[in-house]
Amino acid sequence: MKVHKCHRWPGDMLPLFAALGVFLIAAQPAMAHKLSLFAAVDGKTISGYGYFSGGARPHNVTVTVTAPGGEKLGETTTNEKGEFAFPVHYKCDHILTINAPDGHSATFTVEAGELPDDLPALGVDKTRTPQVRHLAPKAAAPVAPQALAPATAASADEIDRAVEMAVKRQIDPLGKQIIKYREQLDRYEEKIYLHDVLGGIGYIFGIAGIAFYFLGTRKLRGNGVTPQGRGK
Amino acid sequence: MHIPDGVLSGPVLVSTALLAAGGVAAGLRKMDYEHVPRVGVLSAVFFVASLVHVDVGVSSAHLLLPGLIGVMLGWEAFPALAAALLLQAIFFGFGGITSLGTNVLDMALPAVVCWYAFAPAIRRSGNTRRAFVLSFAAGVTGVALGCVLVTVVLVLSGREFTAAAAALFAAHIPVMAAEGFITAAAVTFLLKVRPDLVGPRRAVPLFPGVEG
Repeated sequence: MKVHKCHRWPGDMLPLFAALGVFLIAAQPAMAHKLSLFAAVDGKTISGYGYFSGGARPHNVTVTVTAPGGEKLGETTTNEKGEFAFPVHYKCDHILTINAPDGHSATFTVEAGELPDDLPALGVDKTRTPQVRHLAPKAAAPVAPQALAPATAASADEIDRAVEMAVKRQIDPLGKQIIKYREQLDRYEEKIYLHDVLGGIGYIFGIAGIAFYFLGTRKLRGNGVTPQGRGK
Repeated sequence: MHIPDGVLSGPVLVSTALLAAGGVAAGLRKMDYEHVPRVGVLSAVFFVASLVHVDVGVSSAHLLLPGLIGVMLGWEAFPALAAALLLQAIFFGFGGITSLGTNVLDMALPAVVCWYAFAPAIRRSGNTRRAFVLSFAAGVTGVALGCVLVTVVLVLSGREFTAAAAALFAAHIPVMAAEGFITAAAVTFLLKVRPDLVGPRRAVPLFPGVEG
């Protein structure tokens, strides 16, 4: 057998390591190529948007809405900003699925508890069929609170309504705040962290190390050397 | 290019997984002791490079490097990409576990094709310019073939052909150009410093003095 120069691999692989280093530095603001979906309830409308981690928004992509049982509730389409809105007709979990034509997809579930109480449960109102609608305008702004009639004339009903309005006024900004935080949380979950990337590289090198060991053992045996030393 | 879980139909998932498993087995059988570091490093390069994402308007795209991985690894591209894709799926939900086989096949098969189509010619090419053109072609071909394969699996799973093909190619034309240059630069550099890293290889004994 012809005798070749035996390479010391760490030195040999230096250019590749250098390339890897460059990629690592480039990967600092790394973001995965993945489609995600975010939605929130706004009155009787579910509105939200799809986004590729990294900022691109999916244009004109269908969002399908299904009930937990698999029953299709309708569908809508994202606009140029990747946003969509879907009018809610039933109080049940709404599972939103976005399917980009290039094979990316994502789902998001809006739970029944987030929807207004005055909606019928799914299956109760058979006459009202779900509609297919493109980006519908947002639900009408809440009715301005009525001026309170003098306390003496106020019936229990009116007091109830006034209290409801006051509470709504207090809670609305809070709800918007919560949606904002949920959005932020969602993005943090999608974010790629450097320690994950480094961990992955570590795994790959570890696997390569194990392969190195086994193939090396095989090779040594083939050369008449036992793992414990030069035998035979 | 990373297809997530729940997009493809069962038969497509199963058949591509079987094909990918065959490719991984072939790659492992052909893998020699000396090539392990190379396979590991290129696996890591792919792992990191395909996380760096660029917004290309309608979608987002990232490097895939089938051309570079192909001309350097040949069949060993299968185990290299399988390891990297599995870790991407676990760590980042990038791609999916059930669609792992499909993703491995879609990216490693173009690499193997590049190996057969370009590696011998690159190795033989006497001058740098010729090698540059050939490896540029390898980079472009690798990505284009990857897009074709993804389109095929999507269409086989009941997606509409034109929409899928248009979306994929629109997002990957800039990637093809970038990969052409990256592959060409990397390969011509390697040909200068370590020509044996590119193209068909010779066996090198572990301990030259010790022979059975």
